[in-house]
Amino acid sequence: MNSIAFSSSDIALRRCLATILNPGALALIQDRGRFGYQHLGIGASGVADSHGAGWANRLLGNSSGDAVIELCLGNFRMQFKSEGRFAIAGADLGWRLDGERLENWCSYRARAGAKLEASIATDGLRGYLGFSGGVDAPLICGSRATSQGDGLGGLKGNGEPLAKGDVLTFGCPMNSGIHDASVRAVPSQFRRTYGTAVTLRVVPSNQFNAFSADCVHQLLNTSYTVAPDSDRMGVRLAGSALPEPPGNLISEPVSPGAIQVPANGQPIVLMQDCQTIGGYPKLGHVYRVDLDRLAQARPGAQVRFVMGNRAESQHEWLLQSQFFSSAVVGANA
Amino acid sequence: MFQIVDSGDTAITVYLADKPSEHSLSRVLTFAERLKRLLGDRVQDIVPSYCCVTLYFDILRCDYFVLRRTIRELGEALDTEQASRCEGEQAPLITLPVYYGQESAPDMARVSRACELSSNEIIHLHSSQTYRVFALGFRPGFAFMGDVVESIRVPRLESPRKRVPAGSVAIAGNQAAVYPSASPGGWNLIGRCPTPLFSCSSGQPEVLLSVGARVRFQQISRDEYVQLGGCFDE
Repeated sequence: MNSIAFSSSDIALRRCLATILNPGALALIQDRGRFGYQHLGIGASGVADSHGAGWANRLLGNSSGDAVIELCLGNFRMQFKSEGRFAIAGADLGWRLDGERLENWCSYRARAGAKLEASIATDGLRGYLGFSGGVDAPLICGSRATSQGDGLGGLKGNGEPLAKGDVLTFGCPMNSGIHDASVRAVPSQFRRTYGTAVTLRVVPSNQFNAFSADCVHQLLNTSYTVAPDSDRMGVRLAGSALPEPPGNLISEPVSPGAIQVPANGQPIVLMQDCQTIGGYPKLGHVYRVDLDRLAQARPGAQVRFVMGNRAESQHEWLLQSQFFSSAVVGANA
Repeated sequence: MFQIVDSGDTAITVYLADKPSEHSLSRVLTFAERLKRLLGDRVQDIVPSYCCVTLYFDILRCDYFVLRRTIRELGEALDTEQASRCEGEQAPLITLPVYYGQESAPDMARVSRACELSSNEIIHLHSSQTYRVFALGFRPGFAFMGDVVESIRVPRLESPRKRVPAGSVAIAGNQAAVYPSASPGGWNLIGRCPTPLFSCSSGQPEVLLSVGARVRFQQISRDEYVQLGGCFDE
């Protein structure tokens, strides 16, 4: 209501600032990703867990395309230079605001000068920190997502993760309607815990028919362990090797969710920062909605695969995408 | 060959050939072009490579079954037509200058031993061939080019370098490439090219090579390399 009266220059003046005191293990500005440039070799990147990030934005009445901060493991500290609103979701990083413990999956208001800190994740791997109006960063190929491999996106646009001393800019809380509420919370039935085991549903894809029945049987009957060298490019799985996977093929486009099987028979599930083309045979693709779960699996977590189907995979992704891109009632008054 | 396969819940891959060749490239380019003309910005991306085209779509904006039908109809049209156009003739020819000097070619001596050829012979063989770009990937603007002549084909390094300087001219097997930016890499480095292949200074990408482009390498001197903006940092 009041907000309509502001011109764009007013809005520019009403930006909020915060300083990173400690980025922790890995703090990245991410959004939904960089689409439409894969034909140039530019990867999609984007948030690893779209459910956690989706809620961080939704709690603030943000657009689903706004940028958030993705924190791997935690140990993060920042200070608000002006009053601001923020939301926390995804892995519980043991958040504190001026020393006071915060409940995960909620939004809060911070006074100017307040210190916000995260300790270490107790459940899950990646926590999301959203700010009202989204985090500012240059749009690189239509996205703010940080791709360290491609050297694109993030605060400076060059793919670097957030560093100590970086100054974040985001929107100020408006003094009307729902924005006055200091705390909004995700309903308990939508809050996730991540645990130490994840089941991934699979749809056969590209080279499925080139894999022997033994390979498929073994994939579906092995309990894999997330290997420590897993990252945003791919989750490496250790377990009994698939017998005689098909050999390497002529390189072709690859995308997140692909289950690649190199010659050693240990599957790799590609994640958001994967390359745009690859030459390992792909047995299937993990449901997009299940990749959110995999993104929260810590090294050592157990992974199992079950066979699913394309229709269900698309349906669930459609529902989740619709949910997070629909406007929050009352938030845009 | 014409085969439509799902690649996850928001991508479809269309296989158009068994192995890469001028013919496969022509089919891939023609198909990608027609898809683009027909679907335009209704899909997120159309990615051609060696033997296939992958189409990415936004599940909120596209109907999977309509896409499948469109692809099938295009494929039928492609198969009944005689591919009369010769894409290779129309593709732009891009000349990339290369300084093959020792300081820019850390693997030249090894390639030379492996192929039992002098470095001058390798330079000659590398630069007297017209290559085609079969795919872009690995890093923004990285073009996979073929085919390297048989006499200078060498395998990738056993353990990749952690950092290959931007502009490095490389070969591996039947493939040739230039690293657009500094990155890890396992190909054999035989020179440096001063021409920028990728930049994104204004937020929009500028990419020199596209799939289908024809490329020739041209030997230049150290002075020319420096004049053209080449450097020896890193």
